[in-house]
Amino acid sequence: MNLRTIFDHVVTNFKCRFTYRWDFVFAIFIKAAEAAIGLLILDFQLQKVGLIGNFTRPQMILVFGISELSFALWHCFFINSLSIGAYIQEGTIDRFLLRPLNPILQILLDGFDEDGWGNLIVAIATIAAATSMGVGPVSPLDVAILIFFAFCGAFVFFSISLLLSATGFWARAQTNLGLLTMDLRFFARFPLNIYPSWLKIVLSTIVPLAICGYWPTLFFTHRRWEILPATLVTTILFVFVSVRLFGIVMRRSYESAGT
Amino acid sequence: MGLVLTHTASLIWRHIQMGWHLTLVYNLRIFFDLLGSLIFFALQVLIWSYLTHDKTIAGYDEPMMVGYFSYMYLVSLVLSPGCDVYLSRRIISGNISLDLLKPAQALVYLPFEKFGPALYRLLILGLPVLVLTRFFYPVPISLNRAITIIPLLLASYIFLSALDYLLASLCFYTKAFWGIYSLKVTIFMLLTGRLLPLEFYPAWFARILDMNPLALAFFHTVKYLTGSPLAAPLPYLCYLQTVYAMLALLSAWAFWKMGMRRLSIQGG
Repeated sequence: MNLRTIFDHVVTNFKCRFTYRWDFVFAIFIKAAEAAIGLLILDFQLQKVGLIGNFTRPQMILVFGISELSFALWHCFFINSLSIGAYIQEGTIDRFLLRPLNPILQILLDGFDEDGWGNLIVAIATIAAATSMGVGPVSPLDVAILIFFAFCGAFVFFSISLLLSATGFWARAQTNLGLLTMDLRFFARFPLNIYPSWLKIVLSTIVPLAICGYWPTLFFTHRRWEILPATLVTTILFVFVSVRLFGIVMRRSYESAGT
Repeated sequence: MGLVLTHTASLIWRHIQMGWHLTLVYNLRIFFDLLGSLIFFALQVLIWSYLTHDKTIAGYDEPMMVGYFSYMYLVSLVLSPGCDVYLSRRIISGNISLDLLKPAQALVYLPFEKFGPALYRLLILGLPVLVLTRFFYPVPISLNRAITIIPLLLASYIFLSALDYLLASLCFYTKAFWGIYSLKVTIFMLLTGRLLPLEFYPAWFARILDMNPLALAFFHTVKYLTGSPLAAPLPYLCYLQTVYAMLALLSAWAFWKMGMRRLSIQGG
């Protein structure tokens, strides 16, 4: 699939969204409010609890901001991976399999979500607030690294949603398991050291949610440079394994609606 | 009169059955739904058991907090009719006209049809999680409390269904359904105590939110089920929620009628 086709898909998607301009603005505003209320609730929690996993209030705000940034990018570009179950249930997944293009890419390009941009605005504002409190990215290099972390986190969310949505091939319907991706972001907002050690290993390797908030915060607060290659390698491996597994499940378990 | 009532009751029962059977069509979905619920709940318990381990925060110790979230999870499964998603899609696609053609006022019976999936979620997803939690934490389980809370739950279900109709009728004016849905989720996050008990909020803010209908449906119901003292006697809370439900029904009816005026159906 060449870049021109991807670009055309993206442009078409945006044109569709802009057909109803005020709806687009309204959705962004509401999503921003939702993210802001999430932050408010976290702040209430911090006021009562104090330190969480030895993370101070500014550090917790930074974890929230980075996890929200990763989630927002996933929400903007990869959210349609959650629709796989619905496509299977409706019998429309054949459409993607018949075309001479990568089916996963087609599914992702089939629908973008307009309201994810609201999350993105709040995430950037939150990270800026954390920076003003003395933690977070300061230099242009830091900002570049933050963008790198954010995209890695978005790819992790994408891989999780792809894997969980693949259960739709067995269930032949959209399952709660696929929608779990939306809930997992709440857990990416907490430092990993509050979990038992076995779960820490799981969340760093098998389901690397640590990339979506905890590791980037450790990098910006402790300047641990080994986190950068670890993030890159873990993300690539996780995406590769997820896509391969998705392909295997699809090939073995999907039965076409046709003859 | 008796015949009409019998017919109505029979229709209600059939709609509940229909919702139940539609949910069970996909066998394996039950397993995956349960797995998803267990993972979400287990992570939530892990976080809160860490935060409240060996200490009390805002009046909650570890078992109380786990009990709170167990029941909150259970109540959330029951009190999510989901009529708004169905209705909004029908309105936006124009398929609402098909529902209006049906003789048995399908739209009036929709909350009953959605009661079937709510029962499915309670029995298949909620109760196993509660029983499993009981093995690890002393979560109070009282049949007496479960029965006496039913009127409040029913009033809350009516209120939430009416709220769904009210929100869905906004789709007569805008196509931003997911924006409206997100607005609902946002309001719920703040007012129900689903993510955080109201005791964690600043005192002035918690006082304002204390008797709102969403707090009555979720927060106070959970407090009662966990055996914690309530802010007011249960009959008073039921009465208050019934008043809210009636007001919501009236508003939903008015909004729906206003929206229907904008509906134009092509054809003969």
